[in-house]
This record gives sequence, structure tokens and C-alpha cells, in this order.
Amino acid sequence: MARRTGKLREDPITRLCCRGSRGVLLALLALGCGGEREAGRGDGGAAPPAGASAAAAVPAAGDSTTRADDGMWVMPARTYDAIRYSAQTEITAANVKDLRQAWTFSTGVLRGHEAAPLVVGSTMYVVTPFPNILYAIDLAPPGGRLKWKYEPPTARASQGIACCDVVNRGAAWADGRIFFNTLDAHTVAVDAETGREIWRTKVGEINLGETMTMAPLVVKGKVLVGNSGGEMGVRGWLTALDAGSGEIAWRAWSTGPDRDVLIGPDFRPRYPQDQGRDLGVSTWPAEQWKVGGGTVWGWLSYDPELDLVYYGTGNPGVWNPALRPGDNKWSSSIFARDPDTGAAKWAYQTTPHDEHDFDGVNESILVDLPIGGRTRKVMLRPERNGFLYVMDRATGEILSADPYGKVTWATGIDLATGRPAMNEAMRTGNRLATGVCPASPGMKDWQPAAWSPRTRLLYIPHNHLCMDYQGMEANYIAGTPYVGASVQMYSAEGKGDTTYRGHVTAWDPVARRVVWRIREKFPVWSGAVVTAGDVVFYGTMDRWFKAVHARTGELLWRTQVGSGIIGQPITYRGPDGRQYVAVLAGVGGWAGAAALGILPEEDPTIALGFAIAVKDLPQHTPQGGMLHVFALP
Amino acid sequence: MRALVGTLGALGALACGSERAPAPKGAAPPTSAERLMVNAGELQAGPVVHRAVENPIEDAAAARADGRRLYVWFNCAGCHGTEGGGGMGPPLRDPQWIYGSDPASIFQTIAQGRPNGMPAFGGRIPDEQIWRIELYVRSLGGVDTTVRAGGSSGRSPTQAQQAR
Amino acid sequence: MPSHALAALLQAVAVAPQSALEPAGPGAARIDRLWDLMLWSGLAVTALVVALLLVALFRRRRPDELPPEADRPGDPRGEHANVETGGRGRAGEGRPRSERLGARWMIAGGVVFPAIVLTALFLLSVRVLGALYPRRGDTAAVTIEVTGRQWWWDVRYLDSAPGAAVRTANELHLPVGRRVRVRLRSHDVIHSFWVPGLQGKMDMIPGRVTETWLQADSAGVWRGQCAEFCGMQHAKMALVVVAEPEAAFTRWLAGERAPAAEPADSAGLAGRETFLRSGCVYCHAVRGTPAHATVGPDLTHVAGRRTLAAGELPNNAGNLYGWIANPQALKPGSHMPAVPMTNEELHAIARYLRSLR
Repeated sequence: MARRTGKLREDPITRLCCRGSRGVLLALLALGCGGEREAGRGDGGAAPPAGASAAAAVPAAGDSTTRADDGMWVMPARTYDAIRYSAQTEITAANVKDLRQAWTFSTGVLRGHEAAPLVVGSTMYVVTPFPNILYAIDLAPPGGRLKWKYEPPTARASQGIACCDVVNRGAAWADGRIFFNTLDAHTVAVDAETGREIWRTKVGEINLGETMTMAPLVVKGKVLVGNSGGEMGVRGWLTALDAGSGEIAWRAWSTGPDRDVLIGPDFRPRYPQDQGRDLGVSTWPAEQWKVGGGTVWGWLSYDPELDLVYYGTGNPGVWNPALRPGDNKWSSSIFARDPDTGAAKWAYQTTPHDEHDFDGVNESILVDLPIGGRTRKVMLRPERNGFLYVMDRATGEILSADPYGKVTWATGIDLATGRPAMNEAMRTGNRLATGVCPASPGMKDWQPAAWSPRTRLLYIPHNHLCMDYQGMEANYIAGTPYVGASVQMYSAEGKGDTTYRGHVTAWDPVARRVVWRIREKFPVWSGAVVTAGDVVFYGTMDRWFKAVHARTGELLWRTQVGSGIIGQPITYRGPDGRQYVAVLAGVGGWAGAAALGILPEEDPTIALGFAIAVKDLPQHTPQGGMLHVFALP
Repeated sequence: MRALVGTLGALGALACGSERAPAPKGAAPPTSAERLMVNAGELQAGPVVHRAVENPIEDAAAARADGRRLYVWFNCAGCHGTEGGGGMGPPLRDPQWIYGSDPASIFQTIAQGRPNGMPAFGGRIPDEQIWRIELYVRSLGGVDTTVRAGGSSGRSPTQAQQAR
Repeated sequence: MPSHALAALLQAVAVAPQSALEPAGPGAARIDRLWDLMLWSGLAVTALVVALLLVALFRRRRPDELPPEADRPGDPRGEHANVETGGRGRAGEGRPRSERLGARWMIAGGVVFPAIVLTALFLLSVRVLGALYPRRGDTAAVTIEVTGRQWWWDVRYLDSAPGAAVRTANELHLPVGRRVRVRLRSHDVIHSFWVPGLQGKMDMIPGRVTETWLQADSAGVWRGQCAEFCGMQHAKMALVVVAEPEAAFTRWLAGERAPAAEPADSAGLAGRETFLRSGCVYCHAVRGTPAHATVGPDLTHVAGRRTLAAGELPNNAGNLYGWIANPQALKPGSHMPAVPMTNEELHAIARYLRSLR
């Protein structure tokens, strides 16, 4: 069933600012109609009143081939279905070789830049790593012009409790406001036009080890945010704040009794392992669920038709599984929730009793696929644990779960029970397991994949690593690391290999196989974006920004930038109607820790074992912080 | 026979037991009163005054091993690496010390915490334990041992550290 | 000494029976029986040997037992040998009867007899040893995991339901008459788990898991002791084993499962607050509060334990205050420091801990 967004014919902000009375009329209509849209039409699809869609266009989920691209990028995945696809066709596989840098903009910050720039109308918004400055850049003048910048009073001390660099994965725009999180566990709403702070709400406590790095999702007037700190003994949650006032509307904890996890009478988990009362308590030793992780630091998606928000939870706190016998629910789990109340509709734990730090926070990409002779509404989950799940997003049924790289920790997923069949030699409770694949950053970590409805392929930037992992004693002191594991990672090709530690894979989820794969020297820690011109863009930690052919993986264009890329590329239509590609460069993140001045050769288990695997990274990139914008000449 | 053995044992236990009636602790804890006067940075307005405060522990070898145990138990290793290679926190093996590498500065850094994310441990663990951790930290090799009394490491932080 | 005075002495120093010679459980009973057998058989053999020696020393010799003259010093070539006895007695019929008998005595008594006796004792020992410790596949209703740490015992009652596991320290409770499987680990160096009244020793070796049975056939309290030198306070690493009827044991276990008692009044709340703000929470856990540290003993029900400091101090107010205020005076070298605190804080923390039954 095709759905259509309200087609945005006009650039709302430019018009409001610059086109006088018609703009005022539009603004009034937008104000009048915006509330309705958020409250419940959900699909955003039926043709809205003329111009009313202007200020509050809500991109919808579903099959994007029938949806026209408005040229904006209002949330990190652009649309609620998280497919990161742009229908623009100016840049094609044929002409991308002529792409050149249009302009750059220094963020003034050195550390890992993981965000996706936003484009709303003719303004680009960029959130930096700590101190989380928000820049608004006017795209109309050539080379961009800074409109304003907002500098939140982010607590400096929060830098000391961020496990994996002081990153930020971006902001979200809705209803004339920019929403984003700061490292010290606050959520901020800023007026998109003026840069004035509207509200700033404290949602977490840094003295408990809580930080925030994820990009919010705004659904039906609620700003959905989650915390970080699974390596600090933090108890995870997803919180909804009212977009207007910033007050907390509901909070769904990731562990604990059902009333905390917002599991109620509507909860219909598909598999027996997920059925039962208060599993968030009974699958833990006494009290351990209170420091049980399950943080929500990754991606959220939304299906307006089913009215369900999808997201996953992180690892179960302490890395030594012997300290937490039991399935440890609801860590490493996928949830489907009602956005108005937070009530859970279904859940599935991908990795019960995780022994390897296989978080479940990766993106849920919502597409409709022909499977088993009929069209199914599915979610594609390129999971940390090495399996690519195709799941029915209405019920949580797993349709397929196949390894999309080298996996040794389990032999497969039992589709009848939903449980992984674990390889006993890979257990890590108080013991050393060697040759565990994938390594803790998983087959893929947070770096988001993209889906092209044209090629029907999923483009996955990801890792090619294995590890040795030893569980050991951990002591809990609030605000300090609570890990209990000694880990060393290396290329899946073998210890000492420095030529192949990451790849970009094109995966066919219906045929369930790799279509093409590009090997990379370092783990590919940037996101991917794919366009209707059949071009896939991604960046590498050794400072390349690349364009490859979506159908064949052939390298079409690349350019070298000043620092490794771990950000999420976007493509947008500028005020001049041309297509632009933008990405943030600035190495860091967990993968880039080795380039931040630490010493893995003298201490091989630092950065949770990642740094030694990429100890040659500093030779390939310094730190940096730059926005790069590209276009055809 | 058994009664005799038991009696001897009991007498022995009694003898040891006389040590078991300790006096309750008297005055306020020494930590706050004796908080060291050490600057956080290297610049001093006016003429420079050198104040050398050494680690008061005498039996360094045993205390250093104990310092390593505390370094792990209190999760210093979790941020700075088991061997001081760094991670969430800066490395302790290299010669860059943002807040000073002399014993008193390291002591204060641990006790007071520091603004960019070093938590404060003072007041909750005794000074003795902080000095032991300081011994271990200094043994990791990052301290420029050619610099003598005066309290300054003699090296300024690099640009990379300014980003922290 | 009058037994009631002895009992008073024992009470005063909170010493529970710790004698391998007074077994109260099947393990120690087996060992005791074997020990008795070895003792008496050893005594018997010793008596026999001493008797033979005395006989040999004081018995008068018969003429045919005298050595040949040639064996007298000064005549090495036997030139003055007694021809009738064949000189040195090398020829068979020439050897004195006493010598032949002596050789037989030596072989019988020095080779055959010890071989038989020792083999028998060895086989018995092996049999007893094999019966003392669990084998793969043995089941038990209760499994306890004890981890030896310098210098205390980290005790966990395991359960198939992860939330029902119990963690305590330095004290074990057993149901009377039922055997309990004890898994032994070590956190740091080699320790050895020994409750002489109930069972033999079993080492706790870092990196390995060893196992033993514990069973008490009557209700009572026994003292155990670390039996492998493990550092400065090895001598003060004791534990208390309490055997109680099944119902009482179940009640105790259920009580241990419960989280810490909520303070009953504002003074108690202030005490908990002081505890949570202190350095105690860097090492100790109290379930039901934000204190989750595990490098020190779990204090959730510390007030219900009989001793402090690993069996060394009776658990009463004075000892608790003294232990918190200055542990190094009582157990120098132990890992518990004198946490900085004022008198008021000490009072508040001790009061709070004494409420944790």
C-alpha cells in the first residue's frame, strides 16, 4: 500500500523569513495544523492543506519509491523508516566522478564526530562532540554562512565517564525546533530559527555514570531519548519528553519489574524465552538489574501505520557474565512500543545472557519485502552479534537470521525458540575465550546502514574483527567503570593483519546473501547513505570519503579529507536546487580511540581491547573537526 | 588429654584477646586538616616558591604492590588502563601530566578530582591508600624522574591534552 | 579443669569446637576412624618392635650363637678360624642357626610385614580419600560456593534461579544430616578450606575449582580455619559453620535472600545515608541500597553473623566499633583500611550496620 507524504513544495523557513505576507499566512496555517499532524494522522500521507505541510512535514515509513524526496534531512536517518535513502538523481553513478568539494566548515572541536548534519529548508544544523555546540549554517550564500551557534553549558566532568569518546550522533528537527542531547545527560530544545534555548531538561545523572550520545527521535510531539553508560553500571532507559515543555512524559526502563519496563496487558512477546512476569528481575542475581545496563544509546525508528517505535537496548552492564547468571533481560533486546504511553507491544532478546558485549542498539530499518510469497512488513536488523535479522515488525517474528560475516560465538539462531545456539568454547565467564568472532564492537556497531528501494539491497558499513576475551572480577563504584573483562581485538584475518579490518557489504535480505563487499583497512565506522542515482557514500577512518556504485560496489570516486570519517553522510538539495553531499570528518569514537593519544602497544587491553587492533591508526590520521560539503561542478 | 589441649588453646586465645579492645577513634580525621597546599597548574603569580612534598611511605616496594591492588579495585584501571595506557582517561605512562607529576600533585589529583572528568576519591579512602596508589602511578614510567624537588614536572601539557 | 569453667572460657573467646578428634559429620568421622586405625596399628607395631629390641638387647646368648673366632678383630684372613664352625661360616651347614633365623626374621619382619601392613593402610587411605570428596555426577540439595580471599571467605549459596542466590561472608549454615556440596575457588593465592570437626582439608587454588562435601549429623557450631599459608593474616582467617534443623536452615536462607532491613526511624535513615556517603561503599555491598561493591564482604545481614573479621571477633557493638575505627590494629595487613570518618559518622555507620539482621 503506497503512502505519500505531504509533498513539500516550498522551503518553509525561507518563505517565512523572506517572502512577506504569504509567509505569514503559511505560518498561521502551519501553526493551526501542525498539532493535528503530531497527534495522530501518523502517516503524514494524505494530501495536507496547501502549504500547511510546510513547517511540520513528518516523513513517513514504508516504501519510499513512491514518495518524492523533499531534499531536506530532518533527522539523522532522514525518515522514520531509517532507510537513509535519497531520491535525488542529480548525482549519478556516471557523474559522481566529477564530484568536488564545495565548501568546508570547521567545528572548532577535536574528538570523534559521529553526527549527521541536518538540513531544514536552507539551513544546515551540526552538533559537535563535547561540548556539543549546535551550529546553524545558512546554505544560501556560497560557502555557507554561520547564522548562529548555541553552546550548551555541558558539564566538563562528563568527559571522564564517556566510555567511547565524547561523541554525539546528531540532532532531530521537528516543528521549528532542534532537539539534541548533551554529554552530561540533558536534552535540549532550541528554536531552529533563532538559536534561542527553549528548554533544557536534565534526564540523567553523571555521578551514576550516565551520559547521553544518541540522536533523539521526535514522534507525535514527544522527544524520545535514551541514556549511555553500559560500561559504568548504568541502568538503561528510554524516556519521552514533551516536545513543547521538555517535561518527562514517560520512562521505560530496560531492566527491573514489568511496571518499570512498561510491560503491561498489551505485551505480546513472540518467543517463550521472552514470556513471563518481571523477567527484568528474575533473570538476574539479586539487585544486579539495578546496575544492569540495557542502555539505549543507539537508533530509534517509527512506523506511523502500526504506530510503533522500535529500538534496542545495550549490553547487560558488567562484561563478565559469571557475575550475572541468568538471561539478563531486557538487555540486548529489541522493543516495539506505543509512542504515546511507552507501553511495550512486543520484545525480543537477541542475545540472552550476553557474554561478549553484543549490544542490541543497532538500527531497525523498516521496509516491506516479498517473503514467502507475500509482502511482509519487516525490520532489517544488522545486529551486533553477527546475524542479520529479518523480522516481522508487527509481531516480532524472526523470518530469517543469517551471519553477514565471520561468526564463531554461535552456530546459528534457532528460529523456533529465537535463541542463539552458543559455542561453548566461546564462553567468557571467569575464563579466557580466544578466537571469538565477531569482536565486541560486533559485526556492526552503531554505524548505520542504508537501504535502496531501487536495488533492494542493504548497504552495511561494518567491522571485520575477532577477539580474545577474559572475564574477571569487577567492582562496582558508582561513576566508575564496571566492566570486568580483559579483551584484545584483532583482524578477523588473523592477529597482526593490518590490511583488512572492516568492510562495506551489500546484502540482499530476500536472497539472504552478500551481493558485493568492499574490503577496507580499518573498521568502517561511518554511516552510509544511498541515492536514487545508485551511489553509496561512506567514509573511512584513514581519511577517505568514497562513492561506490550501488549495484556493483565499484569505486566511482574518492577524496581524502583532513581527518578520519566516522560521521553519517547525508545528501540534500540546496537552496539553489543543486544536490549536495555533506559529511563530518574528525576521527574518534570507540574505533578511533587509538588516535586520541592513548598507548595500546604498552597496554594492549585499553579502550576495551579495541585500540590494539588499530594501533596503526595514528599514522593514518590526526584528530580533526570539519564539515565537508561536496557537489558537482 | 583433649581437655588439656583445649585449655591451652583457650588460654592462648585469651592472651591474644587482650589486644582486642581498641580505643574508639578520637579526633576528626586528619585528611581534611592536612590537605596539602599544592597548586593545580604550573604558573604562579609572583616569585616562584618551591614546596616539595614527598610521598611519606617508607617501605615503597610493598606499598607499591598494594597500590596496584587499589588501582584495580577502585577502578583506576578502568579509565586509565591496567598498565596506565589510557582510555577514557589519559595515559599515565607518558610524560604528559595535565595537573602535575610530582607526588603531591598526583595525590591531589586523586583526592580532589579534576574538572575534565577525574572523580574525587579523597575523604572516603584514607590518605595512606592514596599515597600507595600514587607510588604505583609513578612507577608506570610516565614521570620524568630527572626532575628534582620543586614539585614541577618541568614539562608542559601538549596541545593534544588541551582537548581533554 | 572443671568443664563448666572451660565452657565459660570457650564462650568468652567465641571459640567453637575445632577438633578433628571430635568428628560431627561423616567426612570427619571417616578420617577419625582411619586415624584411629593408624594410631593403634602404629602403636602396636611400635610396641612389637620395641619389645623385640628389648629382647635382643637383654637376652643371654647360647654358645652356638657366638661368632666364629675368626670374626674377632685382628684376624682378617681367618688364620685362626674355628675349623669346626667353618671360620666365617660361609658354607651352608657352617652358618650358625642364629644367623639363619636372623635373616628370616629380617625378611619377614622388615620387608614382608611392613609391605602387607603399609599396603593395607594405603588402600584403606585411598578408599577413605575417595569417599570424602564429590565425584562428577554427585547431586546435593544445597550447593555453596566459597571463594577464599585474603583473608576472608566469600560465601555464595547457589540456586537455579539467579535471583535466589545468596551472598554472605565468613559463616556457613548447613541443614543437619544433609550433605552439602561446597565448590571452592580462590581469588588470589592458594587457601585451604578446613572445618576439622566435619571434613578434611581441600585446597582452594586460583584458576581452578575444587569441591568438597560438608555434612553435620547434629546441630551445633564448628570453627573452620584456612589451612594453607596465604599471607600476613593467614592465622586470622577462620570461619564459622552452623548446623541447624532443616526448618531453621530454610528460614535462615530465606532471611539472607531478603534485601537489607529498612531503617525504622530517622536516626536509622541518617545512619544509612552516612554509610552510603562513606568510603565503605567502595568495597562493601548492602543489597537494597546503591552499594553494590564486591571486593569486600557482603554486609546485607552482617548483624546476624556470629563473628567479625573472619571468625576473629565476636560480633558485638564494641568489636564492631573497634573494627571499623581501626582494622589495622586488630588485623594488620588486612585489606580493610581505617576509612576516614568523624566520631559521629562512626556512630551512625555502626548503628546502621547493627540494624542489618
